[in-house]
Amino acid sequence: MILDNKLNNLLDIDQLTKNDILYIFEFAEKLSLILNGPVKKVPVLRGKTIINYFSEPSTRTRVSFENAGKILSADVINVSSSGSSDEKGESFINAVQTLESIGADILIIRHSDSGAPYFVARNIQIPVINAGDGSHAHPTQTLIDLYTVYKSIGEIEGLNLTILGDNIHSRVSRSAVLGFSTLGAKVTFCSPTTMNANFLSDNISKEDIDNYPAVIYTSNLKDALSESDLIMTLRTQFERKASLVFPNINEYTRLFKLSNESLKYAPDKAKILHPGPMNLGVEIDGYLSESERSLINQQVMNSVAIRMALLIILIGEHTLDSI
Amino acid sequence: MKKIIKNGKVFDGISNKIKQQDILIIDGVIQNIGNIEITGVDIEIIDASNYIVSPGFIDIHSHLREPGYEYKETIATGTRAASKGGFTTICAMPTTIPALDSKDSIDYFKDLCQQRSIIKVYPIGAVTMGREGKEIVEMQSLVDSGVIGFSDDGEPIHDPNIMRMSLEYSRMVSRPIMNHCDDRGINYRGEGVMNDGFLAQRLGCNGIPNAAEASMLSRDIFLTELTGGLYHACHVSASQSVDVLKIAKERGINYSAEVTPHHLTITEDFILGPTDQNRKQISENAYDTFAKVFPPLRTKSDIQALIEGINSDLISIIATDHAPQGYEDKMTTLNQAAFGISNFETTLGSVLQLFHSKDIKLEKLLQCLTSNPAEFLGKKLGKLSKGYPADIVILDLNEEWEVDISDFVSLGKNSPLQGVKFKGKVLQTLVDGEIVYSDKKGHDG
Amino acid sequence: MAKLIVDSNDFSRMLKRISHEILEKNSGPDKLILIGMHTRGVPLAKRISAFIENIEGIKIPTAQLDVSFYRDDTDLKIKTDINPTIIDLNINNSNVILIDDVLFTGRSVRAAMDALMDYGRPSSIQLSVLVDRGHRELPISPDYVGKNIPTSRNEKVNVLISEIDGKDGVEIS
Repeated sequence: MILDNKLNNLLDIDQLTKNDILYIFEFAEKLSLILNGPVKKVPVLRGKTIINYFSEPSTRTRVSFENAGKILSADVINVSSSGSSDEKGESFINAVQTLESIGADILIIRHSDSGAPYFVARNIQIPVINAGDGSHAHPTQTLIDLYTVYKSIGEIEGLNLTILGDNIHSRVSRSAVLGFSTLGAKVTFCSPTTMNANFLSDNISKEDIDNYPAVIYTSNLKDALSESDLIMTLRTQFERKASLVFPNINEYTRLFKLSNESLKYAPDKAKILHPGPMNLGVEIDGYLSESERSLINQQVMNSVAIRMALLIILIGEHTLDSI
Repeated sequence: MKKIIKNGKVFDGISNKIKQQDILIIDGVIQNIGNIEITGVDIEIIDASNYIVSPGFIDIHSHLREPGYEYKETIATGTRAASKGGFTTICAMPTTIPALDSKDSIDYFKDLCQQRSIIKVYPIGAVTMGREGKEIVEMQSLVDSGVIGFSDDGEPIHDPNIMRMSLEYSRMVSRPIMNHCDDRGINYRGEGVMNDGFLAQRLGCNGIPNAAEASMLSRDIFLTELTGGLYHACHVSASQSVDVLKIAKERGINYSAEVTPHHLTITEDFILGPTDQNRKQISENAYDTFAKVFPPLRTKSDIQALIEGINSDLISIIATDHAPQGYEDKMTTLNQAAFGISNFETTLGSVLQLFHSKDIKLEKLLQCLTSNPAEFLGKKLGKLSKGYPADIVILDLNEEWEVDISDFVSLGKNSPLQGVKFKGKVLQTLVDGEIVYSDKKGHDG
Repeated sequence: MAKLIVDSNDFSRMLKRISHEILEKNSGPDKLILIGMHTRGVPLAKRISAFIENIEGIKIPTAQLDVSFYRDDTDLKIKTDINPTIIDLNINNSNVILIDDVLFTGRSVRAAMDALMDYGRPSSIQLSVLVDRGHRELPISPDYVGKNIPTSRNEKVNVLISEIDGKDGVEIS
């Protein structure tokens, strides 16, 4: 099995075919052997420099990439910045090109502006991994979510995924729609109408209907959960963006929170995902995240193996599965 | 100094027909048009056989950036670029430092133009001091200094009361209020970066809905009806806006409106990159800041409505909104990039696409670039007729060429049209009978 | 067209001889650890351990080592090349017998030694191979050899082990 596409960058999951995704799963599975082995270090990326360029704070994604790089013996450098012109007046593109000249072999970029990794990728020679850009994409998170589901349930084809929460502002949701659809799942958005990405779902135009997976939208939690195999709850932040599109946290939690009561609308076999970090009590009740229905811990555990696979695919010296 | 332009297919801006005629110019003024015998030896002959001869183009909406932003463009480079685009008169928006909101700043600007411009430039005054939307300028004073209209362009006139008052006042000073329509409650906090819709949501970007333009335009039209003021709609881009103008016309409300060459020809797909505009699988070239412009590039159905707007005379003027930006202004993420397209040099190529596709007749396009803007300015320009200044452009409708931004005379290299193939270009531009631009390849002059 | 060079009987005799040689050279089973290199070195190590248990009555610990990420050549087939490393014991101060099926360029063995150094500090590392086919690119020589088979570069030597291939033997093609 080999990758269908030669990957120069990972900007969003729409670059990957079903075959590519299954290949990455298989590779991550094998790489988990290192994580479970006696010594969690191999020299495969020794001498390579990985730079995490995060202009939005993040603990889990950054540490997960850092760990992935270090297990592979790469040198990992963390740079955080505002992502625009810094105090010294250096522009974003100058900062990034400087990092390339200093000797980075790959840049892992998280930025609050959608499209920032695309802008960087076309202006430097080294590979770029998108670790989350604005409201647009978070491809590595989706790969982790897909892998987690694949390992715990198996075949993703035909599964019903319900995504609950602020879909307008969520890059996780957007990549999830693309990734899960590529593997044959059916996606339903459930949120207040004001949080719905309507041009991608119920209001999609005739002209664009073939340009996007078919997403069902409903604001009725009971309907949304009634046939779910997977429930993905999104982080809904009232201090930041959500208050702009929804009046009141009380009404939101009453109608849309995933709790023991609302979970009863879903089949017993339905599993819960959350990209983290969780707003406990807002989009999900705390005890659910620990329940046996939850795949949240596995999502975290699988994150390193998937990121290791991506790093080797993009900057490893090995020729993978060449014929 | 005698010149004669011979055998051109002349569009005179008066009758709607193009006729083969000669034009005699003496000391920068048109003396005669018709079949002219050449007598005497002291006469320069410009052979325009097979070419279109038109009044020089008049642009009522452009950004020269000087004084204040000379790294983006100067009066010298901007007017040279305009002459290459066939423009003999342009109007400069007050997006300068200092803003053109006082007699002193306008006199200063006019002095600079006197020294540095190679074509005719008229200033547009700000509506409010500093374009801040609070205090209306001394309009009569600015008119006395030579402004041809008022605009806070770049900013909408948000406060309906300021709009109403400035429209009332416009009757007294006989100059139009030119509004950049953008309701910043609908285009929330002005954070939109591209057309609202599928593509904006797909790319995770804040969108600028058609409603943000149409609702403010609607407000402005009814305020114009209320006040009887002089109103001009800048850069109309949305199909709903064209519908508003239709209502205005039906109600007999007097207004004028302009559309840019890019809004007439290219869609939001250019945000995906200059080529390979795949809405299904986003390529590395997406989030192209050269396609970031205000109002945003919209959809085919908006373009269709705008074309119909021109054909039914709801929109009578094509204006460039030439907005040069510096390298750093565009070399960043889509969110942070400045708005604007540098387009003096591509305007003719763009609008001729509509002629070649038979969407708009050539005569109509030329009117929108010449006699209609001249009427808006109320100046003796934009026509080829005895006594008019010899502001003339000679065009080849058929020469094929490819846009290469590195050839731009403008300092603004921000155009989404790199590599686009056009058919038709400017061969020569004359201002007051003097050649200010001549295409190097293959034309006598 | 594959040619059988060693049949299953001779195969078994080779392994027994190697087992004796290991015991002789190390004066007994003390401090010995057999580490099989994936893939076929792993069952070979188990067999040698079984023979040694027969001879000396003592069970020598075995372990398995994957060297895919230590190799310096570039091809990697994710389905077949990456296997678990299972070393459930302390290799410090032990005499490690590295066991592989075929010794060729020596690069796998070099990688195995690097890998072993990450797990601890053995007192010694000795190399046991079933077949030495020549064409060394690194200064590596085996301590125990089943059979020396000179080959040309483009020939292929395949060791067959019944746990994996259904029968025992050595083939050239």
